[in-house]
Amino acid sequence: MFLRRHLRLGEVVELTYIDAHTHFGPPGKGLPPATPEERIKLMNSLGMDAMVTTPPYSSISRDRSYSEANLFLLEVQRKYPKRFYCVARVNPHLRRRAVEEAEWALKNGFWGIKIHLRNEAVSPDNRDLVFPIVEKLQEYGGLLLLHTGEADYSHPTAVGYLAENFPEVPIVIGHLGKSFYMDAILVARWFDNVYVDTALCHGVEAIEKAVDLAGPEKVLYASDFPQGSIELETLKIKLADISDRDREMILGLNIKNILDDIRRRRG
Amino acid sequence: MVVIDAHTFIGESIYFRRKKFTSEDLLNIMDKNGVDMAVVVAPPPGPYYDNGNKYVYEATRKHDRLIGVYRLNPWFGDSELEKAKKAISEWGFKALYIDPQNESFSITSPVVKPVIDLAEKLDVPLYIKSAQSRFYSPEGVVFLAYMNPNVKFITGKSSIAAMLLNRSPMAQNLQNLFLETFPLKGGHQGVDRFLKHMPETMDPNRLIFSTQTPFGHVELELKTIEFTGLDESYKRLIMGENVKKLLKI
Repeated sequence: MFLRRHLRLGEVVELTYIDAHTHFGPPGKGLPPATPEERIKLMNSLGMDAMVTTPPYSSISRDRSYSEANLFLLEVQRKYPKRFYCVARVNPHLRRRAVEEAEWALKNGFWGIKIHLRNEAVSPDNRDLVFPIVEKLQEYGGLLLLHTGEADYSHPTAVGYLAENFPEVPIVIGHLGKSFYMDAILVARWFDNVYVDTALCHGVEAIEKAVDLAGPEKVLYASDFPQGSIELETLKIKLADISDRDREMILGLNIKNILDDIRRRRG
Repeated sequence: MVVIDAHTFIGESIYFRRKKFTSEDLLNIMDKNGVDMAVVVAPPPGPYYDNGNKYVYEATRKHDRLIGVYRLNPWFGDSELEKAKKAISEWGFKALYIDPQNESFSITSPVVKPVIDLAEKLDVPLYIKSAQSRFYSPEGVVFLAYMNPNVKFITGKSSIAAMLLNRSPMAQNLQNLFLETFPLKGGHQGVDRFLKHMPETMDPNRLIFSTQTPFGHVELELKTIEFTGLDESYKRLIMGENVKKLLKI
C-alpha cells in the first residue's frame, strides 16, 4: 500500500489519495461497511483522504428511484464533509422527477450526478432523458459520473456526443470503458471535459495507455469499492509504468482539482 | 506450494511496452514474486512465429524453470503442422498454442480442426484464446471441447469464461476444458462470485494460475489470489499442481 508520505527525487511529498468512484448505500441496501465511521476507519488505515461515493444499484427503491439512498448520503456528507464527496444517483427514465432530483441534489451540496447507463438502460447521447439532467449540472456546477463498459447503452464512445454538448461539465467515464478502454481513452483525449476513472478497469496496460494518449491529468484512480478492492485497484496504479508525478496526479490530485473547480464555480 | 505461471510471453514484440522482454526479465520477476516455474510462449503479433519459437526454445534449453509452448499459425497449413510436430516430439515443447484474434480466424473455423487433430495425436494440450468476441468466444471453446473430448483445451480470460461455465451445464461437465485465472479481477465479477464459492462455481482441478506477463502483472494476480482467501488445498491445485499434471512437467 502507498505511504502517505513518499520520496520523489529526494523530496518528501505529501500524497493526496482520493478514491474517485465508490458506492455507499443505507444499511441493508448495499455491501458493508454500512456506516460512515467504519469507512473512515478503513480510509485512515489505508492513508486515504476521502472518497467520492454514490448509491449502489442495490439501493434502488420499488419506484426505481434512488431518493432514499441519496438522502442517506446527504446525511453522511453533512456529517463528514471532508471525507465523503457524495454524488447523487438518478434514474433518467423517471424523466421530470429525475431532473428535479438532480436539481435538489446539486442545490443541497452534492458534488455531481451519477447515471448507471447499463442498469438504467439509457444511452448517454439520449437527448430526451439524459440531456435535461446534465443541463442542471451546467446550471449549478458538478461532475457527471457515468458507468461504461458494455456494448449496450454504456459504450464509451457515446459519451463524446454528450461531452460536445456540455463542454463545461466535467464528465467521468467510469471503469475506463472496461474492455473498450481504447474508445474511452479516445473520447477523453478528444474532449477537454472528459476524464476516465480506473475502477475495475481492464488492467494496468489500460491505465498506461490512458496516461500516454489522453494525458495523466485525465486519469482518476478509483476502486468501485466495496464491489472492487481499494488495495487491488491501487496496486494497479502502483504497477503502471508511469512517472511518480503521474501517479500523484492519478491517485488524488486530478479529482481534487475537479472538486476544487466545482467549489470555486459555486462560490 | 509450487507456483507455476501457466502463461507468459518472452521475446520481441511491437506490443510490448519496451519492445523486448527477455527470459532474464521474466526470471527476475519470478524471483521477486516467488514464482517457481513459468510456461513461455512467443508473443503476438504474427503471422510468422519461427523466430519467436526459436527464442522460446533457446530459453527453455538455458533455464529449466521455463516450459515452452509452441505457437503456430493455422493458416500456413501442413508445413506449420510439421514444424509443430517436431517441436513437441523433438524440441521439448509441452503444448500447442493458437490465437484466433491475431491470426484472424474464427474459433470454430475449419482451419482449426487440423491443429486439434494434431494435439490429439501428440497427446498435448491446446492453448486457445477466448474473450468476449464473436471470433473467439468462450462458447466457441466450450463447443470445441465438447466436440473433441480427447483434447485438453486451455483458455485464457477465464473470468469471462468462468461466468459462462456457471451457467452452462454442458461446460461444467467438460473435463477437458481448463481455464486460466488471468485476468483475475478483484471485486464482485471475479473474486466474490467465483473463486470464493468454489467448488460450486468451478471444478478446482480445472483452473490454472496465469499472468500473461508482461501484458499482465504477477504481483497483481498473486495479490488477487491472496484476497480470495482460498482454501489451501484449492490454492495448491490452482497455483501449480494442475498445470504440472496437464503439461506433464
